[in-house]
Amino acid sequence: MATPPLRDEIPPGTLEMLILRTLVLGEEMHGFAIADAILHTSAGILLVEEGSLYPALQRMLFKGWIVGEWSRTPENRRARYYRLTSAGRKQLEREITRYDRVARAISLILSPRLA
Amino acid sequence: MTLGELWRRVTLLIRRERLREDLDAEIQLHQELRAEANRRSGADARTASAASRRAFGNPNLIREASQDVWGGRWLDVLQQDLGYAFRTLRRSPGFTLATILTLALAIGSTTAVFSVVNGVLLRPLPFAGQDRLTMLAERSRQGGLRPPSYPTFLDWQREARAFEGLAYVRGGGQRVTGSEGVQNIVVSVVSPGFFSVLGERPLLGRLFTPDEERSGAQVAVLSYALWQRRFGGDPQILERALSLSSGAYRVVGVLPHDVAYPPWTDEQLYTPLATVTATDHALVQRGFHADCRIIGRLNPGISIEQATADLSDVARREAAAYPEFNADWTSAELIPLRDEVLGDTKAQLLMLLAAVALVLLVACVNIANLSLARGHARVRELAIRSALGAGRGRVARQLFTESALLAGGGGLLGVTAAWWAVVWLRRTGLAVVPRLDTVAVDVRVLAVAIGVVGLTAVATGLLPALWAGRSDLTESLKQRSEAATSGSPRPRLRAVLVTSEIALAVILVAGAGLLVRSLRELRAVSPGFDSAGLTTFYVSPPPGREPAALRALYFRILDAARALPGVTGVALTNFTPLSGGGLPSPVQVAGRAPDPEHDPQVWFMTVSPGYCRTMRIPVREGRDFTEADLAGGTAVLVNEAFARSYLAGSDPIGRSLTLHKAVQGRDDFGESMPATIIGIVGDVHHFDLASPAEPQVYVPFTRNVWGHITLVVRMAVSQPGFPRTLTRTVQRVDPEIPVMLSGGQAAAGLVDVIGSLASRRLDAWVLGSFGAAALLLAAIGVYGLIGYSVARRRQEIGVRVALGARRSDVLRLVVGDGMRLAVVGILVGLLGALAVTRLLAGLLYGVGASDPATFVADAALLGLVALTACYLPARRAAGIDPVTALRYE
Repeated sequence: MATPPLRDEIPPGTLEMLILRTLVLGEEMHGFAIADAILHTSAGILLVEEGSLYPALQRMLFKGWIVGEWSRTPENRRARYYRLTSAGRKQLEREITRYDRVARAISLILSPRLA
Repeated sequence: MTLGELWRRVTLLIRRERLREDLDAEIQLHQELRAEANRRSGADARTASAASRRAFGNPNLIREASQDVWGGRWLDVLQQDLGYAFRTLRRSPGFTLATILTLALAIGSTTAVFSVVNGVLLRPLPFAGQDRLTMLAERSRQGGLRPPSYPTFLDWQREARAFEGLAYVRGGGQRVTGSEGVQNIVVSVVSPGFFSVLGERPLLGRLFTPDEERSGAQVAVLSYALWQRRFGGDPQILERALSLSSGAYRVVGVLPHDVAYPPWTDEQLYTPLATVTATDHALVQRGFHADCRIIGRLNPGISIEQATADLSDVARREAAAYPEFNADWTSAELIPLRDEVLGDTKAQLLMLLAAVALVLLVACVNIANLSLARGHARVRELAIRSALGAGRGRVARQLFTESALLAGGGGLLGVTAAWWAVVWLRRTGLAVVPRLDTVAVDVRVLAVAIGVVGLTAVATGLLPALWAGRSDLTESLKQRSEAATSGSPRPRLRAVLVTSEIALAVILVAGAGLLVRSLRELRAVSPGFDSAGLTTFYVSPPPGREPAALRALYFRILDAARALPGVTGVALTNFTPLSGGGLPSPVQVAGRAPDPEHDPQVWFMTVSPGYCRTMRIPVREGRDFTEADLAGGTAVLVNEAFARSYLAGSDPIGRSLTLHKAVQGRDDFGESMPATIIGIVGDVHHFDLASPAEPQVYVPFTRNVWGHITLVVRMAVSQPGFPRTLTRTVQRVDPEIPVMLSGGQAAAGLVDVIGSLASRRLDAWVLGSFGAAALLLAAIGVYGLIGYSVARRRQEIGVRVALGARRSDVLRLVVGDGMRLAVVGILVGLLGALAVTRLLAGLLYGVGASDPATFVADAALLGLVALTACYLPARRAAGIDPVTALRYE
């Protein structure tokens, strides 16, 4: 009996970073595509409760990190496509730097012999 | 928060609907796409969409979370509250309308009156350190006041110790000749340091240099109003040359504010006094006191009393040194500049403020009353809301939203009304209240209005809210509406409120009644002449003309006016009655010792022979002037007041008097003139209908030719276009006579007897409308209370009728309840009125402050209003059908 793939909740505060990162890779995307992309690129390990994407997107729209534009999907459905702004790019760099710092610090604690 | 974010948040408030739709569309799309993906991976349609929903989470929570990101959830709640408040208020239109109108009335009158008080009283004069500024006058043993002559001023300036500085200013009419023709303006010549005493700084250019002040120069400073109105606020005004009667002057500066000192007009042109000292005789005469002011700035820390004592010492020395001029003028009086500029309107304005406070109080009482009544009716509604889970705060907020809505509506209506009222006041009261032209509904006034609105909102919203908080849920739901109130103390509270409302209305109506009666008494006072059909023209030829030339000019004007069609009489006089002008002059009666302590001032009138006939002033004894009296001789007329004061107990005709030439600034000023009384004429109220007629002596105008004179013309039938005809006629005789006076007033006009009562009429009007408002509010209060109690006692009354009570019994029962309150209210109000109307004493004429007739009428009026307000609901009660009333519950 195959064990179902292990899925983890996203650590709090990283969702926005993940969205920004996804948008850097994939040009313009709509909400569903972003959720799908996060799921797939993390090899199915990270689980986004898909709805929680939307409050985050709203927050980022306000911060001016992303802009949204309504257009048509290939199947001719109306969808809002998000695109990174230059402020969003800078924010992504900041977040990654911060994440690296935190991650290094955590790994230092967990594996002191590396120090 | 960045600027961009702020902007996005602000636009959000407007685009909320759009955002919500966008979000919904996105969520729906997401779920559809997920379902399709699930289907593609083999799930059947139902499991696919269920799985997609599971993966998505709770869309409602997501929506709310997103909206939380937008912020402004309060906006939604507010929207909900407002919508609900609108619906509730619409359901009880009577209450809503009554409350909004009450509020509008109260806020409107508060705002209007406060804007006047603010503009006139509260706003300080624009002079720096105005508390230390005073106007200085000589005071006689009899209590008379006059500005010192210029030589006396110089002595004061040298000897007084209490002042940082003293300055002298004298005003006079001059013509400016410009592209717009000849205009009359007031030119004030000022002694060195005048502007620094006032603490003035220039808005444009500069003030006079010390050198210009000392040695004189042809330079001029304009008051702000003059610059604005005559020169259109021209920024290029500096260095412009003005052609005045006394020569060409160069404009060097403009003053910064709308108030000009001395307060004879806001449009003034200032020049250094030193420029005219060589040519102005008035400046060396110790007997010259006209058209001038002395102002002083007190040393810091010196009180007015100390300064008065200091200056009075100087005045006493002057009186001893120059008995010829100053014998009686043995002390000094200091009048704060503020009081001089604002005059005695302070009492009037404070009365207005008190009245408006009363109206506001009545209005608040009324609204509190209405809200209480409504609070009762809503007990069950509020209880149900609590039962359904509304928190106490939520219910209170709902109630508060309602009252805020009411207060807002009333406030908006009220401020609009106030705006119109101020416009109206400025049109009608301009001549009555100083600085009124600067009154406006400004920021400060609006702040007060908003404060009043806020307070009423809190007061009227809080009452029912507090009450809703107190009410016991289960009890309220269990009880039937009718029983919910029995045993509660609230009806008593409402009765007290209504009683005090009636009492306040009684006070206001008493005040208004007294003012209206004063006005009626004053209207009944005969001014001593007949103003109907009179037209006047103020003839002010250029200064510097010789008396002989003036005399010839005046004769030519008389002849020209006499020749006009429809004219039945023409005459000249130096001062028309009720125009505010006049000149007192000493008179000695042969064979009578003067009594400086008691002799009243005598007003020096120069007239042409037709004057009494034209004015219809009766000749009581002796004869009127004839043309022959103009040529020479000593004939004069005196009025009855003069005969009473100076000639009591003797035959006045033929008595000899000594008069003194009274045209100021001429070489012959003060020269004695022998006179013989040839007749006695009726008294004329020269200054004010409310004060007794002053003693007057009439002299043929040729004996002391005045520098300006007023032409009086009587028409058989007054024609509306006649002032224009008269103006053209005078202009044909001498085009140099200006037809526009300073302040933009036409030289031609009417003798306005009623106009002299304008200030009192305004008072009566304003207090009258406040009284009417209070009356109306009290009536609403009584009606509301009684109507409510009838509705509450419907069943009880039904039982009474069923048990055999007659219609008249029911009527008596209900009316009796209301009238008991009314009688108490009226009695309390009368007591209050007795105390308060005493403050009005200064504004009354011919009635006492506790005039019994007024008070009785007041009580009767309030009784009648209360009776009507009780009768209407009582009649409804009497019509109650016992069967329906009993089945109703």
